[in-house]
Amino acid sequence: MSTEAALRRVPTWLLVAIVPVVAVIAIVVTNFVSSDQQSAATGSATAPDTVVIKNFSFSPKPITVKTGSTITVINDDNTTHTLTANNRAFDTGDVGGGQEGRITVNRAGTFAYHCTIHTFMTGTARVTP
Amino acid sequence: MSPRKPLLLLVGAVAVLASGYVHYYLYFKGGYRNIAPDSVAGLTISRAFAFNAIAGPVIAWALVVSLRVPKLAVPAALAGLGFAAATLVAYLLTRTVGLLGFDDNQLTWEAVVAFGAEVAAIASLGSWLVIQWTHRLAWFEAAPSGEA
Repeated sequence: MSTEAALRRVPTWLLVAIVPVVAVIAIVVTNFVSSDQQSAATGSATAPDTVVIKNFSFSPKPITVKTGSTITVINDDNTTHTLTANNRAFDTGDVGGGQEGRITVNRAGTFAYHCTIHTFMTGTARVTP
Repeated sequence: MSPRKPLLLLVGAVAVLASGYVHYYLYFKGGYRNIAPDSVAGLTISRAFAFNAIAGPVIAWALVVSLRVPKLAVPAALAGLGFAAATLVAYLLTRTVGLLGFDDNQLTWEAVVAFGAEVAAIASLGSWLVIQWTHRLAWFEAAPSGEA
């Protein structure tokens, strides 16, 4: 077999080293190329009427806003999320990684919400008159 | 002496390495580092991703080295097959009933790459193991007649 013959000619040290070398190159390139989007949301994390999504979790829990407020939803993950009221009173739709979404809450009350893509992600919005 | 059909082992190594890389990327860059909706015996979805990211390159290395250490080939191929099958089942669970409290219903490029890599690993390493098994059966059947 030509493939087997070719593989027999590959030096042993190369076979032993190739996977670790490829793994290290992949890690270095990933860290160099991939943007860290943490800074995009950090400055806004304490802003009022803002929900930050990071590590598949909403923050703050709960958020308290006044009726008629617009809540800014900052997705600090690299994957798409939504912030959707369980009763569908509000819904950001898909918010891509590093993107922002906005919802307006027009009714007072306590609203449980979740991410429709990752349903274990939940939170609560308290809307005061 | 080298194992038969070494190309299948190499394809399996590349596929397992690719799956491990995707899980590494998701763990460190995709926000999967601190997800723990549920924990079973200390295992969370994040720790499962970390385990996958470490096991992938280790198994890939064993598969490649087995080209020079034939005794390593069967254990490495079994490990790679088990790794790929378990990862694929875990992914399908997260897309359906959930796994360790985690669910995800969006299709991402990471999922497509990992899915393809795991299917390739199962096909190549499974085929390689079947070839070895078939050859051994043939050898045992031939041995009593003195043809081996």
